Amino acid sequence: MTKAAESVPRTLAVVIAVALFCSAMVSGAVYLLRPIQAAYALLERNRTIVEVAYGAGERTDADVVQAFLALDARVLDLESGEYVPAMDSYGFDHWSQERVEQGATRRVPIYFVTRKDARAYLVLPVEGPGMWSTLQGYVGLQADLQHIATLGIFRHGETPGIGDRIQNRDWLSAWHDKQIVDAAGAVLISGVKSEGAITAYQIDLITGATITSSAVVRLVSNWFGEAGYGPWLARLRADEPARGVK
Amino acid sequence: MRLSRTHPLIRPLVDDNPVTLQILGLCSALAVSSSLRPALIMSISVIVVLAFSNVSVSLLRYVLPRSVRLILEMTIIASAVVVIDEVLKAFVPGVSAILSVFVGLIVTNCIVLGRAETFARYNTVGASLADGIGNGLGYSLILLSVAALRELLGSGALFGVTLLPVLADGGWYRPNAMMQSSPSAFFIIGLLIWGVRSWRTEQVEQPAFSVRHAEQRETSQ
Repeated sequence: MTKAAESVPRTLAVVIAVALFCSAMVSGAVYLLRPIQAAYALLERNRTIVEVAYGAGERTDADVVQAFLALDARVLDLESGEYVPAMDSYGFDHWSQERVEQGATRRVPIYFVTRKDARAYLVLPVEGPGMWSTLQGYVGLQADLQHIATLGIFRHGETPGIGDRIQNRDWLSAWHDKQIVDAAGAVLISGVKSEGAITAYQIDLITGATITSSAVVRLVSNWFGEAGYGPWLARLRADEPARGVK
Repeated sequence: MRLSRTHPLIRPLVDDNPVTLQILGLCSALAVSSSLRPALIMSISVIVVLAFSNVSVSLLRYVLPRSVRLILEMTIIASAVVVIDEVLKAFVPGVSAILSVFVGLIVTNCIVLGRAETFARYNTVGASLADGIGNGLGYSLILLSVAALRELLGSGALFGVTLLPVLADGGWYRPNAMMQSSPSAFFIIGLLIWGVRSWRTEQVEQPAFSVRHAEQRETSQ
């Protein structure tokens, strides 16, 4: 720590050199590791989808890939209500950063479950604002297209230990058999703070995480309304023989 | 080569342990010690960050301007932490999700800046590397002991391998739910500090203030 080390040019030179070195290190690491992280993120997404379709359980990465590829994946255009042909519907990531930035999330991948031992008949992605972050999840519908089979939260940035209780297995399993929409397509599901009995279309909100858990209820009800899957599901319901109900 | 008790690699294990003697780095010790696997990953991360920041600061010790040294040290530490965080996200995404913000919070772990400020700035690269790894090991020793105890009593397992079959799975052991929540880490670390100081009595601190009794006050007036 000599006198020369304290001069302004020397100080500036050292600061700039350290800053450049550190930036190079950080950006190099991010650049090299991003593809691996993206692959894992997609695998984790597929794990959530598989858990919604077949129920939770211990699965190796290979099991997840196998079960995922056994689903009947299609890309749905929400504006037209038509399937988009000739797309890689299994690899399609409508939540990828670029697509969200472009606001191009109106094409969604949906998954019909073909295996008979499955929990759900149809798996649909849903998303919406939580308390701090965007919540992304999947709703597994039963074959009547009115009742929920399973709900899975894929990604969120809620407070650890508080808002992240929306991922609690007990809370998620309380969604089983809840009625989202009636036969005419009107949205029924709603959140309620209750100590006693609740009806077949009410969700008991999490005490201490009311904002985040009611955000989940809200985003599910939004996605099953007119602006989301509502019109398409109505057509699918009318088309019952064609889709071969189990 | 036999390392003496005062070697920078050995001293931080018991005699100058950053957690039990200096009472630093407690936040992360509380947060990530509920089971062994995340605790192990956290330990390795802290060791790597400490070694890297100590070596870098030691390399720069002749050119580091005093006026901005803390900022530069923090820049180096923060960059190392970001790199570690990215590596964890790429290769152990599951554990990375459990550790969540606590990897990022290594930046604010007082042990890291403390060693850079008090040791690496005045010592050779070799000694600083040993000191960084030593202090990381000292932290890991406590973190892993706490995690082992919490995982064993809290869920009857070590590294996820069941040792005490729990009642819920048809066994005999009733897991201690308190061990799964953060406050238990406080109790365990408290007991550890008590234990270490009973063993190495030179670590017991003299009270900074003593209570004056009524009679004393009268005579002194």
